[in-house]
Order: sequence, then structure tokens, then C-alpha cells
Amino acid sequence: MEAALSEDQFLIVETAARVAEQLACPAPTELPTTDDDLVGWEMLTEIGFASMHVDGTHGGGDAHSTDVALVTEQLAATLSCVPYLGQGVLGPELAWRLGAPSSVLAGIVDGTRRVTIALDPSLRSIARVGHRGMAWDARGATHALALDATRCLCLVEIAPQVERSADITRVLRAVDAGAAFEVVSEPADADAVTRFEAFALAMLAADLVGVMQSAVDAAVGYVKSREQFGVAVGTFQAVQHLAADAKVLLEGARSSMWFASWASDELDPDAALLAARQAKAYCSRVALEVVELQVQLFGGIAITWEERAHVRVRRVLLDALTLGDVAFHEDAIAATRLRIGD
Amino acid sequence: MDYRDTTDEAAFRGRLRAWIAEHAPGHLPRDPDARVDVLNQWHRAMYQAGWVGLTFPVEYGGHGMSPVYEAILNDELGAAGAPPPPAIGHITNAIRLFGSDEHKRAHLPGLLSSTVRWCQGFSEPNAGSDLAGLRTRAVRIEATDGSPAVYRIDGQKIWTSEAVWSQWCLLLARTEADQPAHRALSMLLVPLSTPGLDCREIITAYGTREFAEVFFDGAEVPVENVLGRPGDGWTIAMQLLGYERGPADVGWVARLTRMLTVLEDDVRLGRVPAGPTERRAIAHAWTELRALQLHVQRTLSSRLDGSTPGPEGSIDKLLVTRAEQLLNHVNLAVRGAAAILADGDEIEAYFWSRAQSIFGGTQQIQRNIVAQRVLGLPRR
Ligand SMILES: Cc1cc2nc3c(=O)[nH]c(=O)nc-3n(C[C@H](O)[C@H](O)[C@H](O)COP(=O)(O)OP(=O)(O)OC[C@H]3O[C@@H](n4cnc5c(N)ncnc54)[C@H](O)[C@@H]3O)c2cc1C
Repeated sequence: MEAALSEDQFLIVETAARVAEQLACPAPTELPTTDDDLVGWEMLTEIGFASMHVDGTHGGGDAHSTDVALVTEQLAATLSCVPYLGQGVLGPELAWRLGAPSSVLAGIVDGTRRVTIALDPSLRSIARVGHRGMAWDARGATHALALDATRCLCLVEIAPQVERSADITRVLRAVDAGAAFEVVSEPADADAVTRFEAFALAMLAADLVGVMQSAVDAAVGYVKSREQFGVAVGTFQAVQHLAADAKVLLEGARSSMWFASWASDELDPDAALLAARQAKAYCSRVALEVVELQVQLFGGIAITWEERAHVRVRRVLLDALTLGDVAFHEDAIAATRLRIGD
Repeated sequence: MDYRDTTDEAAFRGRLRAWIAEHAPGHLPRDPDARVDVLNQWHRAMYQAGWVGLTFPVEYGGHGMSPVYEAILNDELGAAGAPPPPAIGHITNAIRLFGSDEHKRAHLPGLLSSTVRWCQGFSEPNAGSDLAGLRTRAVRIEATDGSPAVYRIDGQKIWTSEAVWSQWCLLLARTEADQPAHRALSMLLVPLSTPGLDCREIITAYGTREFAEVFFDGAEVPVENVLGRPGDGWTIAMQLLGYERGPADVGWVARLTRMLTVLEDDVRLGRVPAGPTERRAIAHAWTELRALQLHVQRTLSSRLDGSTPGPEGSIDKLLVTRAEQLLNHVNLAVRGAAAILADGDEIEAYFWSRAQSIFGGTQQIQRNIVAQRVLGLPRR
């Protein structure tokens, strides 16, 4: 048992951090208004971060799920608006896991075909074709992946207009009930769907950890320099304790996320899903606490559009809901752990 | 990164699990004396079977294993609902790191085998969080006409856990009158049978005999009973508290896992009714406890290079506090009237969860440490 990053993983973190710095969310007043972000997307494709978890035989990077989580975390830590999680991670994963043919998979994996996942309007699960859905993290995407009633994977067209959403770093676009779609796989077996879910929840946990890291760094930096009463406000114990609480929650979240992301590739689907639910529930709950602590530490400036604090809150609000909120996963955990006869 | 057991770890886990199933005592008695007897027997049995001092060096009677074995031990004890291991990690490590060869020879075997119990005499009525302000004095009296040099101790300690059942006390006292606060203290090894030493029980909020006041009125110990050098007391105390804050080092994770295991069993078997709200609350408690377990595994893994706990240990302590206090709220809420009317284990565990944010440095002191020594925020 070794719950620590390897040397290789440290290198991935370093590289991802450098890339993330270049793809950082601009000042909120300069957020991208267009629906595309080609430069960032091409950079992620070239460096091999997009589709890095997909099997090498399909053109993917053969990377471990933990490595993808580490990259996801770093991009989230700069609040990057590049649609990595939707189109570089979850879209390719779903296509690959559910057995999309190489005619479909190849373009997704090499980054020329921009495909994300479609969620049902509650954002809780993968959308059903024939019903209205939401293409998630859809900046620049043309298609989204949904399922039909027999769990066949479907490639659905995305509506052109951008939907409103609290998270201003991601673009959501509608998938209309009558949108054209193409069935691209045989009915998937339940294990494949469970595997996808476990992976996706772990990656969302990683995104949340990245946002928390950015919140702690920004707030700690701020209270070290902001002066009131003739001293840095970080000198005040009340302020120090808020910062300490945020740090404690961040580290508990990171420990949970590491395990879930490792479990995704290493444990059987049910165990991986339980680990992922724990990480998603824990990270969603504490991420909201952490970004709220961050708002408090910034004071009034946190309530302005210019300061990034609200961008973090917004990203947490959407991530926390995506593929099931805290209550949803804790109910599922209870159903598993409190099952009669175990 | 690999959370799976290695072959050796898996074999160890298998042997441990089988042993626990055969040897773990069932319900612990309410009567404190009877309980201490059961725990003593349990700890001695654990020692004889080779489950104590797993990471402790072989030369000092331990097993020299990697720190992750402590995580396995905590997992398995907790999951089986067995009592926690002896909470000796902090004192054994203090003696190992700072004691003379003679100290180690004399004291480590008894500590590891749980045949000799130790208590920790740090806090005083006027020195709690501000430990460096303690007043108990130990004055060196030079040898005269054949009798050896001694320290003569005067003062009072309070909240000394398990003092009534212990034979020895690790005592923090002021020896260097002319030194600045953090160089003025020494750590002394004091037999509780020393004349001039008086132990008076304090009854806890939950009605048990857990801790005591210890009075020193001219109690004398040989000068050889100083751990490390005179003036090292503060350094040793801080190192020891580092271990005490590590939840794995003192069996907290096992204790909490045990509590949740028992609650889950009661609900699963229908002994305690639980609707959707209660079930969700139990899952929430598990989610928090699991984060703690995983965090402790990470802490132990980072200690593979033999490093000693640093200020990050306060993160672990704050995570234990959060998990334990939530778990106890859930436990009381789910058990409802049955727990309140019984005024038994559940109420005791609940009060203990409130003590978790007080002993070993209060929650506020731990937050100070995280803010100043981990995040680098300025001191006043
Ligand atoms: C169950 C139990 C077992 C114990 N066992 C032992 C033992 O075996 N040996 C031993 O030596 N001691 C033991 N203690 C004592 C324990 O270490 C002290 O209670 C603890 O250090 C706090 O000291 P205090 O009780 O004097 O509280 P105080 O220090 O008086 O604290 C009162 C309040 O003030 C706050 N406070 C104090 N200083 C600061 C500060 N600088 N910043 C912010 N807030 C502050 C505290 O957080 C607390 O809320 C035990 C205590 C308990 C409850």
C-alpha cells in the first residue's frame, strides 16, 4: 500500500501545471465570449492530455486514471475555460468504454471531432436520446454522447445557442428532444457504464480539488498582503482559522480523490464506484465550504465581478451537481453499505 | 501509488483478521476497573501475538515494519469492531528518540507489552494551551554523603489520563530557572509510587475515572531519569505531540471505524430502525470517516522514509475531530431515545468526541499551527 505520488506522477503534475498556467482563466471581465477556444484545445491535443486515458490501440494515451485526475486538477487550479474535462476526458471515455467503432472514436481521440457528454436536465446522469438534455462543457463541440433505452451509445447533434449556467468557465448547450442522432454502439453491458461513472465521478472530484487549491492559494496570498489596522489581515487569528479550515478540507478532499482516481483503473467496477461516490460526495461538500471560506477571506472584493473568487464558487456549484449531488451519492452509498444480508 | 496490499501486506492482513476474529473481546464492561482489566488483557494478547510496535525498530522490541502496517492494523481492528490498539505510539517514540540506552532497555519492553502503563504529565491548572508556562519545578539536589544526585519535584499536574492505572509518568517540569521559556523545561521519567507524589481522581463528564490530578510535594527521582538533556523538555514534548496527533499512532481511526461498524450492523440487522434521513446521515458519516482513513494512509505513506511527524499532523488531528464529532452526532440522532435513556456507551462516546477538540492541543491551537506553520501566515 502506497498512498503517495510516484516520481512520474510528480512530473505529470509539473507539466500539467505549466500548461494550465498558459490556459488559465483570464480575468472575469475578459472571459471568452465566443463559443470556441481552438488555441487551448489544440495545445491539449498536441501535448497528449486529451484522450490520454483511452487505450493506445484506439489512438489514446494509455495513461492511468490517476494521471488524468492530476492533469484535470491542475487545469481546474487555474480555472481554465478550455473544455478539457468534457471533451478531452469524459467524451472520449464514454465513447471508448461503450464501444464506439473506430470510425467514430478515431476523430474524437485525435481531437478533430469535438464531442462531449450530454446530461439529463437534472445534470444527474447521461441523457437519453429523444429527451431534452444538456451538452456539458460544450465550448466548440458539435456533438454530444447520450444513451438510448437499451444503453446503446448515440451521437447527438448539439443546438447552436449557449445556455445560461452559473459556471462561467464552461459552456452548456442544449440537446433538443428532436435532435438528430446516430446510434453508434451495441447495447453496453452494465459494467461498462459503471466503469464510466466511477471514472467520471473521480475526475469531477479532481476538478473540485483543483478549484479548492486555487481558492486556498489565492486567499492565503491575499490575506498575507492585505493590510488593515496597520497589519496584514492574515495576522488575525480569526482569519488564520478560516484559512486553516480551508486547508484541512482541501487535504481531506485530495486524499479521497487520489484513492478514487486510482480505484477507477484498479478495482472492480462496484468497488471503484463506491470509492468514486465517496470522493464526489466529500469533495462536493467540502469544496463549497472552501470556496465560501475564500469569499470570506477576501472581504468585499469577493463580491465583485472583477475578482476571481466568484468564478471558483460558480465552478464548484456546477461540478457539485454534475453526475449527482452529495445527497444523491450518499443515498447510493447507504443503499450499498446498509444492504440487508451483507 | 498503489493502494493494494503487497503480498506481504496481504498475508499480514489475512493473519491479523483471523487472529482478531478469534481473540477480540466482545462488549467492553461499563465498570471502569473491569474495563481496564479487559483492555490490559487485550493489549497484552495483541503484544504476544506480535501486533504491537509494528513500525517500531526491531532492536527496541518492535517489528521494524513500514508505517502502512499501522494503517492495516487500524483498518482491521476497526472493521471487526475490536477495541483499539494500545495508545503508546507517542511515549514509545519519545523514549526511542530521546532516551539513553538504559532508558530504552528499562522502559520500552514494558510499554510495548502493556505490562507497565504510562501517563503523560504535561498540563497544569494554569498551563493548558500555554504549556510553556507550566510551573511544576524539579530542582537538582547535588549528591551529598553517598546519596546520589536527584531532582526534587514540587507542583501539580491535571488532566493526567490513566494516572490512576499507571505505574510511570512522563513529566514535563521546569528545571532550568535561568533559561528562556522553551529551554527551561525537562522531561522526567517518574514512578507514580515515588514518595511525595499523590494522585487524585477526577470524574469525567461521562461519569468515568479517566484522568487525575497529580500532586508533587518534594518527590525525588535520580538525575538519570531525565529524558534527553536537561532543557530538552519542550523539544521532546513537541515531537511527542506530533505522534499523539497522528490518528493512526494512537488508534483513533480504529476506534471510530469500530463505532460506525457497530451502528451500520445495528441498522442492517434491524436492531435500530432507520428511515431515509438516518440512512443518508450514516452514509455521510462514512464519507467523512473514509476521507480520514485515506488521509491517514497518505500521511503514513509519506513517512516511509523514516521522517517524524511535522506540523502537517495538525491537519490529521483536525480531520479526526471533524469526522468524530459528526459521527457522534449521527450516532445519537439515529439511536434516538434509546441512547439518551441508556446514558451509556453512546453518551460516553459523544463526550469523548467533544474532548477530541481539546486534548493533545485544542482545535484552536491546531488551527494556529496549520495557519502559521503550514500556510505560513504571519505570527503576531
Ligand atoms: C480527555 C482529556 C484527556 C487529557 N489527557 C491529558 C494527559 O494525559 N496529559 C496532559 O498533560 N494533559 C491532558 N489533557 C489536557 C489537555 O491537553 C488540555 O486540556 C488542553 O491542552 C487545553 O488546555 P486547557 O484545558 O487548560 O484549556 P485552555 O488552554 O484554558 O483553553 C480554553 C479555551 O481557550 C482557547 N485558547 C487557549 N489558547 C488559545 C490560543 N492561543 N488561541 C486560540 N484559542 C486559545 C482553547 O482553544 C479553548 O477553547 C487532557 C484533556 C482532556 C479533555
